[in-house]
Amino acid sequence: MSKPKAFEDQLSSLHRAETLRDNADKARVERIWRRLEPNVAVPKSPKRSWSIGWAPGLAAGLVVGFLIGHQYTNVPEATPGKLVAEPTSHEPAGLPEPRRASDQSRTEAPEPTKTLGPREPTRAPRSVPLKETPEASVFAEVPVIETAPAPAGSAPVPQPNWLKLADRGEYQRAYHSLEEYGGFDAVLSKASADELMILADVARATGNRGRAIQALRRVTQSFVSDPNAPIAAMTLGRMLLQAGDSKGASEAFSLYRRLSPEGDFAEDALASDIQAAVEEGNWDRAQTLAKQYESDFPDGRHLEQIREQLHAAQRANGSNPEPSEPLGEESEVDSEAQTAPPAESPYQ
Amino acid sequence: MAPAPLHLRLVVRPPAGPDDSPVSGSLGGLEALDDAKLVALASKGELSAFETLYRRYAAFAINLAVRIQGSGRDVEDIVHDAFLRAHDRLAELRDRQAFKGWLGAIVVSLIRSRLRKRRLMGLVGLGQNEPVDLESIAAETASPEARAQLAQVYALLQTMPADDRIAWTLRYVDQHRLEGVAELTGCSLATVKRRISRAQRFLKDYFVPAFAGDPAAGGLA
Repeated sequence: MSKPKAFEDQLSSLHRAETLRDNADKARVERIWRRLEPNVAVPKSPKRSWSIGWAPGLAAGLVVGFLIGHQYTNVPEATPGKLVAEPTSHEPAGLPEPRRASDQSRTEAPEPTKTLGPREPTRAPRSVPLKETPEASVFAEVPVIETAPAPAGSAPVPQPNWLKLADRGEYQRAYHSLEEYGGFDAVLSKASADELMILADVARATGNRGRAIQALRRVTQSFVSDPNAPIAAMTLGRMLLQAGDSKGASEAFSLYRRLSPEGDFAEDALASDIQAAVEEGNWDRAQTLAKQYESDFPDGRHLEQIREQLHAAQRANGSNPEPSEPLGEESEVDSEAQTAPPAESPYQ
Repeated sequence: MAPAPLHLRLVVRPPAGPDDSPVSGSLGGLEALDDAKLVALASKGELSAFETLYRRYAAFAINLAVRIQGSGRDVEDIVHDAFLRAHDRLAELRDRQAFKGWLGAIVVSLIRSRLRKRRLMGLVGLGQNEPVDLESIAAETASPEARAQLAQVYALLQTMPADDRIAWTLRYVDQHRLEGVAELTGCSLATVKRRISRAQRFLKDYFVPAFAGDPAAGGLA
């Protein structure tokens, strides 16, 4: 009997060109443009239209509000309802999502379930069985494979309050709650790698950048073999670069590349390392890394900007170092490159 | 003397290939301009520059919308609204070269609102999950097995919270890098990783794998 294909293997076929449909036929593109064109062709005169348009808008809003209110106040009897919480909570936009101690940070290479110690919450069974979803009918005939039951006998140990609060996204309260456990430094000294990552989130969300750096640095120093270490190093590098600590940032990016040379951010870590070296004024290192980048990522997304950066650095330096080939070749420099904002996360 | 601190500039190359960028006869030489220049012109009211941007990225926006939603329903409205919003806010775009990612983020934001609204309506009994529109997702050339997998994955995605669903779809169906997912969803990398990881675990738990060489596996679509 054949073995079932691994989930990852099956996923790999989903994004093949022949699997996914291209929905952007020319007729559709034209149709949308025909609708869009009159809306974008109208010259904008926001002030005038606002000054004239607010009155009918307000009136319409009042009427609609009145009608809705009237409708609801005439309901004879409220239907008893039950508020059902969603299985996964999401914090309001703008705040980092609560990190759970059970979360694994690496997705590029899913690993066997990690043992996280006593704090790992037991995964609750899905409240809605698969067969009850209408969409599931398309695979109703597929044999159901039972998943292994959770190991028994591991009595959950109550989480510290600050972790619970952080889990709910209440970072400010979580930060204050650290005092119950002796303060940030005391918690930091005893925390696991997972807890340190959460601690870093709490610190970042409450504006304590230095504390966040402290937590991330501890992950990279004391838990260097933990799966959290690469992402901690990358995050640390970015925070240090923003804070102006180019040398520390460079070390963090280098660490990421050592820990995860084939990782999702290997290319970005190298590019950021070059930036850090340039900002640090370490010209030799910047050039060495740039050559490495070109060698490792000949079609890299950052190649052009690295070339521009090195040229600009040469000009700013006033020196004429040995031009590196082919990185030293002339490239067209956009005038905006000089005034461009700090690097955003590159988009493919 | 140390060189002055510099900033990296994001360079996004426009899609290549005649199929990706339908040519309009009235656009003159605008197709040759990069996104930054087109955005600059469009923000000054140059309609043909905006049209060039539209034609360059309409396919990206349409396919992005369909794959995240899992259906082609209202996709034209979504793409229309996304470009309209982009047009109205062009002046707010700091890095003009990053137009594509910025537009994608608008599309994702619009769909996210719709998914959440739909889910909320479902919770209060005023609506239900939209069925998976496999014909919009799977190509005609897709194998029966691939179609069955897509149907199963999208059925499972329907049961997830919108954020997890979007992040996973962007990563594994639309094949964006993690940083691209972070940019499109407006989240930190760590958050994106957690969402994808959570969705991945759920899918792994509930995905029923096909058996290699099993002819029955190919006949489920």
